[in-house]
Amino acid sequence: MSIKRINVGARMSSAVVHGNTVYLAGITADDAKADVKGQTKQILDKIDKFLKEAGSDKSKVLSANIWLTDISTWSQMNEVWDAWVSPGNTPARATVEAKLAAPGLKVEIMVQAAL
Amino acid sequence: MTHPPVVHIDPGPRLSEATVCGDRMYLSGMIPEDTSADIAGQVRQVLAEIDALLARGGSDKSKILSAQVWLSDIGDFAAMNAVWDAWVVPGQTPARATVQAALSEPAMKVEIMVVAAI
Repeated sequence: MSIKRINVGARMSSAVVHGNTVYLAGITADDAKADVKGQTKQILDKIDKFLKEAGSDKSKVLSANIWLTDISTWSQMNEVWDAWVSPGNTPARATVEAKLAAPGLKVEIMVQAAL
Repeated sequence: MTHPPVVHIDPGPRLSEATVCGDRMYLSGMIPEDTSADIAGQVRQVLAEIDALLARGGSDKSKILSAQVWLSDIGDFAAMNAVWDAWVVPGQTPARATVQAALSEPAMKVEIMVVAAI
């Protein structure tokens, strides 16, 4: 079965499609000056874009990992998340606190979706 | 719906080193054997273990779909990337996420878990 890679970089790709599954990279905000809600919105917009390029959409997200640099921002992230997800089609999800790769980043989200 | 059988590579009482199902394989989080090595050395060990397991499943690093990297100190990000960037196959890089997490032994600096096509 062929592998299709989206936005291939020297270090990683933004998304990789194999069979009827697409794996996205851990997505972070481009504008790290935004607050948690703003960063979450940026991330979910990017996820929408990569899912579309792969031939999927948010109603088909199977699993999501969310990392917050400060777990006390959980409800702020959730406010944006809850408004984004497809009602009746919410994915399996886990959220924990972790330090992220660049200063200013407050949220990182990695999803897998069906096509 | 019928599924292909699941094959376990080095199954243990706690976990298998890898599982194979159909045309996809799932590796456990790989950790360095020699934790006295520096971050570059630990990453090299982990990637060598991944190469070996992928080969046993009939895959190779050009077919990695997704990778999660955990560093005990996110300050090692650049040093980890230097080894990673030299290892990945150009044009065939996986989707990846890297975060800091405390690992199962204090001297352990890196753990990497991948999913690959076969």
